[in-house]
Amino acid sequence: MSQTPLLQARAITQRFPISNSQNLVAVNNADLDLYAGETLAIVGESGCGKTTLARAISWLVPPTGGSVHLGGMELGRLSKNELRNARQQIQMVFQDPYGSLNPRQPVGAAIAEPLTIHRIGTTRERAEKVAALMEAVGLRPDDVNRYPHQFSGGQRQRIAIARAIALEPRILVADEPVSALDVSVQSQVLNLLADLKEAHGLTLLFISHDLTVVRHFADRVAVMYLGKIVEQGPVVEVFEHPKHPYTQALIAAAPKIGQGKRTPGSALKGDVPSPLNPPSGCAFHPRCPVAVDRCQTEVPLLKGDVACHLKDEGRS
Amino acid sequence: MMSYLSHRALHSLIVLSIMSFVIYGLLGLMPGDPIDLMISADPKLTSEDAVRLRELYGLDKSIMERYGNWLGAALSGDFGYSRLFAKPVPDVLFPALANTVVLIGTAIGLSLLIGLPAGLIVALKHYSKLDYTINLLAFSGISMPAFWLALLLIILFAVTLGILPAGGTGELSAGGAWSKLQFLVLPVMTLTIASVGGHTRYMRAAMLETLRQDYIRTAKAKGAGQVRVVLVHALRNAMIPVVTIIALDFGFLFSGALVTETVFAYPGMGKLIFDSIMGNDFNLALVALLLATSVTLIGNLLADLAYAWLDPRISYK
Amino acid sequence: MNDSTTLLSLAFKRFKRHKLALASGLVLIVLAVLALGAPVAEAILGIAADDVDLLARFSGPSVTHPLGTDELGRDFLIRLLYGGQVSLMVGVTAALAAAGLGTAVGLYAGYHGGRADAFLMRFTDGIISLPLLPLLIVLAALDLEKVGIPDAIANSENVSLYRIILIVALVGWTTVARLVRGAALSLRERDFVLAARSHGASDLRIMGVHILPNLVSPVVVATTLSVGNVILLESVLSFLGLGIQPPLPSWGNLLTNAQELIWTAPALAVYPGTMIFITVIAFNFLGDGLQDALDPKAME
Repeated sequence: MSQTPLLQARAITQRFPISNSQNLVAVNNADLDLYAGETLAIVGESGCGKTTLARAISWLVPPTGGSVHLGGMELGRLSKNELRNARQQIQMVFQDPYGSLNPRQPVGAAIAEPLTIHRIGTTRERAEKVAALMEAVGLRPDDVNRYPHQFSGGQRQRIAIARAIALEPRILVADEPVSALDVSVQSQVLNLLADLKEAHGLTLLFISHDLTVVRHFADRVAVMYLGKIVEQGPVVEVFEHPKHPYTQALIAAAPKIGQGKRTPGSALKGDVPSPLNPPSGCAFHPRCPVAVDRCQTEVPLLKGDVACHLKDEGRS
Repeated sequence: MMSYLSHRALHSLIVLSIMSFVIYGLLGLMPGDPIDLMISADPKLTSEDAVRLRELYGLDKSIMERYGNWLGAALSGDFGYSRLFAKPVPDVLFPALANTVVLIGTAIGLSLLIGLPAGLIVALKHYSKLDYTINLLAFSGISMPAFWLALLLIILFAVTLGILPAGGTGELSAGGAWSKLQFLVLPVMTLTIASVGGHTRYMRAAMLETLRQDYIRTAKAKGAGQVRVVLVHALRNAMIPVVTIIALDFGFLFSGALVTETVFAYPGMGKLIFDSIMGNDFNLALVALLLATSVTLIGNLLADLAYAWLDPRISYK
Repeated sequence: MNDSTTLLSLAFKRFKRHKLALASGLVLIVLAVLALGAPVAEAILGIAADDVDLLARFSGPSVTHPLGTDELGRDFLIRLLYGGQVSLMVGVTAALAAAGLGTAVGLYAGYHGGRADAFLMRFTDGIISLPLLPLLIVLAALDLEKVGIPDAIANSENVSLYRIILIVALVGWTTVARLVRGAALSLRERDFVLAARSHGASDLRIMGVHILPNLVSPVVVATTLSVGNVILLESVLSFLGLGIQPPLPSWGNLLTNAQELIWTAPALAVYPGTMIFITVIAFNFLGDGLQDALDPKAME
């Protein structure tokens, strides 16, 4: 792992205006580093902001606050053309295999589209590349003119993956790539991602709510809660010695990972609050089994690998 | 709610103002210069007279000035003089408007009286032969050119059977109610047939949509008494789109009445609009067209409001 | 891998289930063939459309004149067929023109959203709230030379044809515009649009490759349904003397004189109106059938 991160995201905030008076803060002041060649996973429950963070980092839906530095360039300061070129470096695979492909576009054209847009190669060269990509993801090149509805969910994800690596990006963002697939198909697609990562030297940003998959797949992991990163670190470390109360509860609740290590009082109280009305101070404090007064008033910053007041005062 | 109302009203006013200018301009592009018409009518007019007349009528000024003058006069109640009828415009307009309201009102009333129950019944008997037939009939009604329908009715009742007049309003004098009413029969029949199909289909569609809701099925499962209660409730929900249709109708029927009135030589707003445009009666045409526009705008506004008021799910910011 | 049927053949299968729509489609094809075959009818009967025969005015149906003759002794069947050419052509062309205009407006508004959308939609709403027929009458009655149209066009034979197509398109685009705008608004949120953006696609490319092709179904349905309306509008305007001008025949203007002739030759009023009626109802059924066949929910 190199010292300087390939991608550095600082103070990322994403605010969506819901009405004239209300804002939804989906991501709140998140920092993230992505090192070349690693697989970084972002985990959390639905609605914690992980998809929004991923899209903000890849500048697909630019954040309302914060900066992203990719290989030295600050994405927010690039001109339209420069940005267009920079986009080739980060590509995304979306969660919904049915929604991420244009139903009226033959899959060959979909896979070739990034190449077409950037005018890479002649028509024939592109066709050859598409065939090669289809083979690389385990599809038959003969099916190049078929439409998405003629493929299964797993196959569509393969198409989406082929499309995502067409531009030979450095970073591949996979947003819950297998959550919508049958369990039997999930491992196939995950293995494909792992193989491609090897073969192309990709850096992988992997979003998931499935801890088992993350344990198996990722090098490092970041845990999100209500738009904030509460803990991060090497995946083995975080899963076996979780520091943040939320992480502890997540691990305890996950099958096979928790291994029955339920510490008393580690079950979570209540429901996830609405992101429209987040609690004051530490967003987790209403449900935290070890919260103190300070947690209600002061927002804990990410120090070291964890954002928790209790871990501040004397590392435990 | 109030802010929505004022927004929509403002929008309508803006449209009306813009349209007044647009129509003013368009009418100016009609064939036939009023002065030329005068000259052709009176060969004794010389070219100096023509220049003088132009000045007198302000026709030598720019269009913005002329429009401004007209607008100023109109806003203070002076709508000008009708060339064709030799009377002030309002004196011509309002009787015609009254006639049209009678015509449209009766037609809409009859159409609803027949169409709504019909739509309701066939919705309850969905997929039956009756449903199929009525649907077909309704479809036919709206696919027919209204003026052709008028001609067919004239052929049937006036030419062949000779029991109804082919047009006009007859004399204002003696004779009982029938001598005046008979002139209404065919025009009303035409308009009613033309719109009953639409009303039937809307009612049917609205009822079908409401009946498909889950709470209806639950009520049916619970028993007959529930069904009656629920039907009333379903009816109320189904009325929402129907109410909007009625409000929109006033605008639509203006256009429909135009043709019907022309065919039957019925002295209403529609015929007036047509005659004044073709007869180069600028003042009359302008005000008549603006009146028609206003009615349509108000109809649309009322439809939107009715919809918002009746459907509690809709909120407007 | 699913079966190898394309989206089109799936839709066609569903369409075939609608007997009425299918029948309407056939009827329209027959009508189109008949109308185009007007010259053939001329050849068979041995007369031209304009052949005036004042000795044979208002003659009833006969071998030489299957539908009789009109007030100038012209064969009515041939005039009816030529009228069909004009009416059908105007109907389809104006509907397509209106759809094209509406799609452009709706696509731009729906895709860009924000102020462009708000402005365009207010404009569209404004046009929708105007009384249709009176406005069309004004537009149709304009003196073309005053508008600035060059003489050569203004006095040409076919000018009434161009004019009616133009003014009907000018007022008829609003339905499609609203439809397309709504569809575009929801389509632009889809993941595949986001993906295209991540590949650096330009707005134009996204609109043309990703949004437009997914709008085609509702636009086709709306356009088909609008042809009936357009034909009705043209016939009304022609009937009033403002649409297609004689000597060019249309089903509408064939009825213009019918009113005066209603006491002498009522049959002349029946034929053109029946043709209009059949055509409009056929397009309506066709549109309904297409709507079910192309229902996007069934396509997923």
